[in-house]
Amino acid sequence: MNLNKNILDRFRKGKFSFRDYRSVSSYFEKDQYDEKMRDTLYDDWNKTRPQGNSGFKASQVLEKLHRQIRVGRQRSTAEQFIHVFSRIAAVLILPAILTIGILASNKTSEQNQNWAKIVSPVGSRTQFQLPDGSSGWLNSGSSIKYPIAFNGNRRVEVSGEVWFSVVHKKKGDFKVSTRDFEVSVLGTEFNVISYPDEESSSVILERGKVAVRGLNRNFKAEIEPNEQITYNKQNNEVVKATVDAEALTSWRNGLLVFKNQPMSEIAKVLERKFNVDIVLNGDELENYIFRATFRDEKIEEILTLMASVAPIRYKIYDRQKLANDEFQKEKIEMWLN
Amino acid sequence: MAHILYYLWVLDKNTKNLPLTSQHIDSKTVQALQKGDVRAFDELFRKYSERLYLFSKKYLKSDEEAHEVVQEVFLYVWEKRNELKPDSSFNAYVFTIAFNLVKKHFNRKARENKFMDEQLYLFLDASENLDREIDYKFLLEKVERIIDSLPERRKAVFMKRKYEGLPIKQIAAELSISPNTVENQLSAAQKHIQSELEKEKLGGFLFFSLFLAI
Repeated sequence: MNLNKNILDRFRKGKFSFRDYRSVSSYFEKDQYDEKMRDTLYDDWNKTRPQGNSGFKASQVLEKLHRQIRVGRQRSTAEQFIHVFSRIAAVLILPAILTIGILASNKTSEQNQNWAKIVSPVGSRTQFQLPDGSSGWLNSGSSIKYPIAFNGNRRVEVSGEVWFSVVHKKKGDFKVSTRDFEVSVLGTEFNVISYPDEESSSVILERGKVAVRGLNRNFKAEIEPNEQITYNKQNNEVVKATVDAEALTSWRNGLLVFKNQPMSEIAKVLERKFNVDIVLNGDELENYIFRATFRDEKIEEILTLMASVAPIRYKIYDRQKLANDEFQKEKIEMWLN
Repeated sequence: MAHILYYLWVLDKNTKNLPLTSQHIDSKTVQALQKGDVRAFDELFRKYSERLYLFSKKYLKSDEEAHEVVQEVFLYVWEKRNELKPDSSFNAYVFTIAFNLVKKHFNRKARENKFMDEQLYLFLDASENLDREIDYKFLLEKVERIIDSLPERRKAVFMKRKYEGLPIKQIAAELSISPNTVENQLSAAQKHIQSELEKEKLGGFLFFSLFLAI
């Protein structure tokens, strides 16, 4: 079957009619055109030259690939697996499995359904996979709940901070509900933050498209990649902002990336990650803008680093034993010089 | 697999006009890649990724999907690094993977948009504009928005019929309405979409070359 190269040419240049579009569709779809398409597109491929300013985000794509191939390599050798296993599994995976087990055997019967719950304890990250192939990460002190019969209607409930990579299914949205809002998804990657003890909840979109619907306050909004929608529980305000989504969701890779964020936000992230209390003295310190990336550093090391690049002083207080024999969280106080 | 290899061979024959040095350099890099050398992987990425992006974008018309194709191609290259043949053209190999992925993405999107294409076809055919240059993406978004603005029930009927392809009887049963009502809702939805598109046309927004024509 012959192709009309003029049509393909117009299509490539973006100046085409509806009939042209239909032809190109059938060229791609029908087997009898396959060989001719390969040849024609191979010519085009060999004529395609890099331009330098094409809008291609090379470093972002390469970074993602590095993460993916690193994970693959770790899985391939037993030695590394044991290494990783001994370090994290006991802390992360076991609590998750235990909670699934308990909840699965315990009929909560909300609409006659069994629910499973995965919990990530304070101070750890937990990776999870759902029965439909969607996956993600739970940040410190977060949980996800989903019906064990997870087909047709895909809905999950979350609390805390959760990053999702949702598999696209032709039928049936994927819905994430929190106390404050519901997120409807097609296939995409995004981050939900809804800690019950925090002033605001938000959704950050990395790729694809999601719709967010308020449950307490009636609002409905769609967000695009690199947008964050934040709902303030105290004054009921909803704000949409452009953000660096990858930086804000890098916690799932064990990174702490702060790109021009005020100390007040950074302190919250550190409090959750390290299970400590941080007291900031003065508005000026709260609004102090910081830019830094940390990986695997201990809280003490992070504080030292911060104090070495900014006019900041800090003091770490020992954990005090309480009356009920429990220990208080470690407390850190900070000042601006 | 044999299928892919055949095309690689065919393509190889057509690659003779490529500068020999480029092939020679790749073969060394490919050998290093087979040993799991990430730097070799990076080098191939630097050399081919932007071309892959530009190539994919020409057909997929989406920045996001073009980025996805680049990522998928290189993930495949890494995972199948042991099956690579240092002596055959890496350029042709990368193309073959990219072609298959572009085709897959294109067909998936075409299937998903089929129910909107149908509306566009009706509209353009009625106004004898099937051969006129259009901003396809823009028109598609328009149709999507119009469908989205349909009354809830009417939209549900329309989507079940046109998107999910369910039979009228089943839709009637699911929504506890009569098949007659389903048909009425469908034709009302159709009429609404067409008349909204017609309005937009009169507003002068729908065509690219409105002022450039003649």
